[in-house]
Amino acid sequence: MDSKMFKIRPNFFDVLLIALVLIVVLAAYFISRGNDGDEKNRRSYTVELMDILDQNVDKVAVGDTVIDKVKNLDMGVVTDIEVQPAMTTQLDEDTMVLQQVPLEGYSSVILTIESTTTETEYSINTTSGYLIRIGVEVYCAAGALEAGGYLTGIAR
Amino acid sequence: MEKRKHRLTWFDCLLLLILLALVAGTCLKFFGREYTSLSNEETNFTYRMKLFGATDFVTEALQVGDSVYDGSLNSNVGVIEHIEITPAETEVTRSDGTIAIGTDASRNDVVLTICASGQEIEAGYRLGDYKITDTLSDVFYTKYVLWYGTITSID
Repeated sequence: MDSKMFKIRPNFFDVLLIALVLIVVLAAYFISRGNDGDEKNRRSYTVELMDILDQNVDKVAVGDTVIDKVKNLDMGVVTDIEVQPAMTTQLDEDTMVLQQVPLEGYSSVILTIESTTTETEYSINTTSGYLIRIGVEVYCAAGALEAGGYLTGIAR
Repeated sequence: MEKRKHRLTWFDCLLLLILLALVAGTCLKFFGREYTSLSNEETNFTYRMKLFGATDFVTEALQVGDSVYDGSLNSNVGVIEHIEITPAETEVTRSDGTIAIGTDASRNDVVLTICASGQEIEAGYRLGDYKITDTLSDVFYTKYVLWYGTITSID
C-alpha cells in the first residue's frame, strides 16, 4: 500500500486558519474571564450563631477555621468572638409590643470572620466560593462547635 | 523546481466557516444585549418596595445608592433612592388566645424607594427580562444584603 496516501500536508491557509481560530478562542476566554471584574480583598464579616447551650459557647476559639456545612466550603478564620444572652420574644399585653427577653440557658455566639474574597459589583465570595451576604442563613462548624444562624454584618 | 501553489481547499472553507461562526457568537454574547436594548425605548420610573418585619441587621445594611438585583433572574432592578423605617406591625396572640395587631420591637417595616429605567408595559415596567409589577413579591439583594420584598406602588 502506498504510504503517501496517509501523509497530512497542511498548506499555508490551513496553518493561518488554525492560528486564527486559536486566537479567537483565546480572546473569547480572556474577555469572558475579565468581564466578571473579579477583585481580591481581605474582608471581615460577622455571623450570629443562635440558641447555643451555655456550656458549648467555649467550643470555638479565635484562629479556628469556619466551614460552611451545607456546601462544605471554607468561610475564613475566626478573629473575634462575642457571647450574648440568647433572646426570645414575649408579648407585653399592656402595650401590645413584642419585647426581647433573655432565653435562660442559651447564648448567641457572634463570630467575626476574616477571609480573602473575590468581589464583583453585585457579590462578595470567599475564594472557596462561599457567598457573603447579610441575611443569608448559615449552618457552619467552627472548632468543636456546629450551629446555625445568620450572616449579620459585612465591613464595608 | 516545482513551485508550491496555495490553493483554497474544502477544509480551508470549513475552517473559515467555523471561524466566522465563532466571531459571530462572540459578538452576539458580548454586544448583543446592548444592541437589543437600544431598540427599546426606556423611561425612568420609581417604585416602592416594602420589607415586612426586617431584622435590624438587614435594615442597617440597606444603603441609599446601592444597586438592587432580583433573586430570580439576577437582573439589575434599580438603585435605592430613599429608605423609610418604622416599627414592624405584626399579629400577636394574647394570653386569652385572641389575636390582635401589635408591634415587634426587634423588627422593622422598611419601605425602599427605588429608581430604575425600563420599558413600560401594561402592568408595570420591564427591565430586561424582569417585570416590575404592583404587588410582586420576590427575593431581592444588593452586593451586601438579601431580603424578601413586596412592591407596593409604581410611579
